[in-house]
Amino acid sequence: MITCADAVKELWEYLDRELPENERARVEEHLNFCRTCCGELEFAEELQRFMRSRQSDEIPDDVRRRLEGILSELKEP
Amino acid sequence: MSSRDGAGQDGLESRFEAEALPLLPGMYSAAYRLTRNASDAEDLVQETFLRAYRGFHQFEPGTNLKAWLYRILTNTFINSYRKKQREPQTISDDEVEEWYLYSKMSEEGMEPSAESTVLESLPDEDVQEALSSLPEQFRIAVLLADVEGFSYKEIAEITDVPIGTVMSRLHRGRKALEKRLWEVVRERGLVRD
Repeated sequence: MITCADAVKELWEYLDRELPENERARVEEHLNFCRTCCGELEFAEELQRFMRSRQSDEIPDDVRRRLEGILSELKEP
Repeated sequence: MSSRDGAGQDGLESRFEAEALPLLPGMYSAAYRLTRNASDAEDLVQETFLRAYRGFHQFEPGTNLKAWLYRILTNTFINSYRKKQREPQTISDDEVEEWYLYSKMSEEGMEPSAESTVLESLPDEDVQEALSSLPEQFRIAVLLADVEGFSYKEIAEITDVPIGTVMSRLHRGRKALEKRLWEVVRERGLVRD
């Protein structure tokens, strides 16, 4: 069984889905019973969701028009 | 682009337009987070798209276009803007070692649900400000992973460093970001002192 310190160390890799299967299983096994780490995990997940929710695909119309204009000019013979 | 022959050239141009243009808004948003102002963000995206357009014949069809474009974006940013911006380039070990936002909030007796409510109440400018306070290489890693959702391998390719370096930058960058967000939460009076 891994320790809390090990589990927390691998928490972000776990959340990023970057851990190999066997290590993922070990972290999951630990999380299944450890309330301290579950709190950390829950919070890290929230933080990740929070950051991702700040991803925006908004571009001001005038900026979009200027950039598209520059690219279409390139295509002129 | 005059060095290329007619039909192939037209094909490339159409492909570039069809595949790269839809990524324009997302790239503008990333550029804004990197440069921290609208005018530089527009210049950076313009420069990125011009370089991408000129180099599109080098792009291998079927590989990850988004990662390829972000590589050009980050390289252009580093080469063109690093000199303009004065900022710390490192995060000291003392600053982030054993620093967990979760622990800080728990010490205040907050439940995880309350913690996320506090975070969600932060205006976007505060989040941008917190992200901006990170040294460049950490800001880029955190932006690519947590905002844009790239994998470690993709970030390694985009930033041209080994995966281990990506992980270390992410680890320290996230810790520093958590610390900064905590300071903002306190400044805003969202938790008691």
